[in-house]
Amino acid sequence: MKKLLYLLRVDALGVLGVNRLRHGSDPAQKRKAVGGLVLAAFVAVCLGGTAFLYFYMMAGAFAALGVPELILGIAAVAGALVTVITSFVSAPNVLFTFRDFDQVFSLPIPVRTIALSRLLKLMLRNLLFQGAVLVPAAVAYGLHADVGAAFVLRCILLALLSPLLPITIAAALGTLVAKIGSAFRRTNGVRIALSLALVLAAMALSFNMQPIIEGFEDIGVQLAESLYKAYPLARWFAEAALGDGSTFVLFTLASILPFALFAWLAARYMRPLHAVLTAGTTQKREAGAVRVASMRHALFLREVRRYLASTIYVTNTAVGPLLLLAAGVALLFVDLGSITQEMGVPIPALAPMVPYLAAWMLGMSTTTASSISLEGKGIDQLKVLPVSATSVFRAKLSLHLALTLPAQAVAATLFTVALRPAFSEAVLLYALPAAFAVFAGLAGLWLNLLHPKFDWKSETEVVKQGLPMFVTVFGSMLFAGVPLVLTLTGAVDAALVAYLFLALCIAGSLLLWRSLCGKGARRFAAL
Amino acid sequence: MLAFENFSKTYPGGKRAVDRLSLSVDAGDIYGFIGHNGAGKTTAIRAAVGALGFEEGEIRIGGMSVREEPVACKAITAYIPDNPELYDYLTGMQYINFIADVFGVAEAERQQRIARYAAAFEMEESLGGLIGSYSHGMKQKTALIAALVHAPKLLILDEPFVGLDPKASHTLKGMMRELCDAGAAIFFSTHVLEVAEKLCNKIAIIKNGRLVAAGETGTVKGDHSLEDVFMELIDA
Repeated sequence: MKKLLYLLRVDALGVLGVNRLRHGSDPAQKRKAVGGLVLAAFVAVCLGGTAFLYFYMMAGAFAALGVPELILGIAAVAGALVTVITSFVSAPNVLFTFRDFDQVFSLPIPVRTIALSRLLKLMLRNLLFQGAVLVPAAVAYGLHADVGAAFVLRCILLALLSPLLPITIAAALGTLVAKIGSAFRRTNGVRIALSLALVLAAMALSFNMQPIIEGFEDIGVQLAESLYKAYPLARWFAEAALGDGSTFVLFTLASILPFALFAWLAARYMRPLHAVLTAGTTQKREAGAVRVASMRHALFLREVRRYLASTIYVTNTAVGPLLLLAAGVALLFVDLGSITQEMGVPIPALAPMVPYLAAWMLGMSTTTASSISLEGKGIDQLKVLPVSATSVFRAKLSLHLALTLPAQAVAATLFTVALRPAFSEAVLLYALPAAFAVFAGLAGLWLNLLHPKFDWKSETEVVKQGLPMFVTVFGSMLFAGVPLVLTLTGAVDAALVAYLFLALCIAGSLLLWRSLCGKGARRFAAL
Repeated sequence: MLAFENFSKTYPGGKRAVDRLSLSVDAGDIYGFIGHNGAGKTTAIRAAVGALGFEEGEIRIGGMSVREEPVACKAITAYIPDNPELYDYLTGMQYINFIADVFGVAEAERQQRIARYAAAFEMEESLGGLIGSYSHGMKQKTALIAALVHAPKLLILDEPFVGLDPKASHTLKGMMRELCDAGAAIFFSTHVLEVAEKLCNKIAIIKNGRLVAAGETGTVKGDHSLEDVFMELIDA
């Protein structure tokens, strides 16, 4: 137990740069760490606030139907889905291929303790995500129902248990995908394909659940039953929170037993899996022909190879363009008439809104926001090359654009075919998300230059949890969300909003590029 | 203190990294492990310290099997890899304390040893700083202090002299001799043949996973230099 605490304590000291803040001697680094903490707190408050508003409104609707506790079940499902989606690619990294594996294994600590510490690390990280969903939901429920201290206590206990099963599922799936991938010559390619397929499947599942959730007002309890059938722990969570002892025991057992079994298996196979997942290819390959490329092309190829070498980097950033393409294809086959009728929006009113949704999806996929950090300790090898900083920036931006712009062009064409917009709207369908993709790419690059992290132990730390990535993703959501709401509500003329948004993107991009060429280049040299 | 008994390791995919390695490091030995890149040195070392599982042969530390009693074996061993992955966000002192905690070193002994080794490696002024701000040599010194703080009976080092300045190298050699005089054993890999020749009382040479020479340094090299013997064996 003591050794488990030592391992957890060392990991905890690395969280959010708190230890650097305490012991660092460089004032600039300290200022940066404080800034990072403040920004992280701000983002957390914004997210928590948004979740609370959402749950509060839903709880009100459910309370009117006499089933306010449904909000707790929905929060349990949402928290589980978020955990599975965000953890399954990173889980094998955290569990089996962490950088200090050799050193930790050389210490006199039982393997089961090491395995448990890695799983708890994963759990504690997800507890934050789960908390961001469960706490606002519980508060929203509490405001609509008469609850006491026992409810709060039960909710705390349930919230602590709730990440266990989703983490077990995510870790088992992630490990399976990594293991299957390692059996192929193109290990990363197979891992990326399988991971993307699973992420998209999980997202499709969550989107499919949306009409169920929205339909509660009409069919209430019946549809709640179907939600609970899909994830029985959601029912147990809701009932246990309200004081049902037997479901509390069921929820506890269903959370702890699979987790304990996986922990035992992880401990049993930790070293063999580490060996398999970190093994380089043993097959001899020909060196291949010598190829000559221009400096720009060579830098771009370097970015592409770096990108494809990381499963987590690809799965985290390719989802947006893939979703965009999937949405474009789906629009060709769905019955738009009945959907728009249900939404109370005529088909022609959809076209002005689609560019913002597309922009948001592309904003989720900003490769540049972690591209500087991903250089890791090899950043010096990049800096000593006889190339300008702007050439490096251009290469990083090119990768982002190569990923987003073709997908956007194809999706815009599909949207145009499906929605048959007016010419000016069709132009905006192409131009608006493309301009936003350029802006988001430049903003991500700047943010990563401002807040780089080179001493990561796993790529997850910068690709999924890095502050620049976080700000880019949620900033994009906000930046594209405001004009979407304005267009949707009709508060301002849709065309005016669109041209203003386009102008902002273009002007912002020009300013950012100019700044990157000056201040950004100096900052890059000082990294 | 450390014994490889017909140890073999085959990686997934079929590459046989080490083939029937047998050698024994006794208390008081400074044992050099030499081989070209990819010869199997690190594989053997990682298996000995418990970072790599194996199915063939046996490795014993202090008479105990590393497979059957891994924690007991590790409790008397210190290992420093060629590129120690210290935690950049910790201070040097926090890292050493973490290692001392895991090995259960009492406070008084800890203080005395840290003071001694920090002074020997000229790290007293730096241990309060973040490891992320250290040079490679300073990280290596921090890893050495952390390894020595629990007074190991067996010290396993992978390329320990890489990155150390001449003075720190000299200090380390002195400490290695001192540890061995006190009854500990040291097993280390190196590419610096001059160091191995002068420092080690025993040497093993590995080629493509197989042991090609092992024993007392004088016996292995005979009247030649270790470099000549090594080149002859490797080119054969």
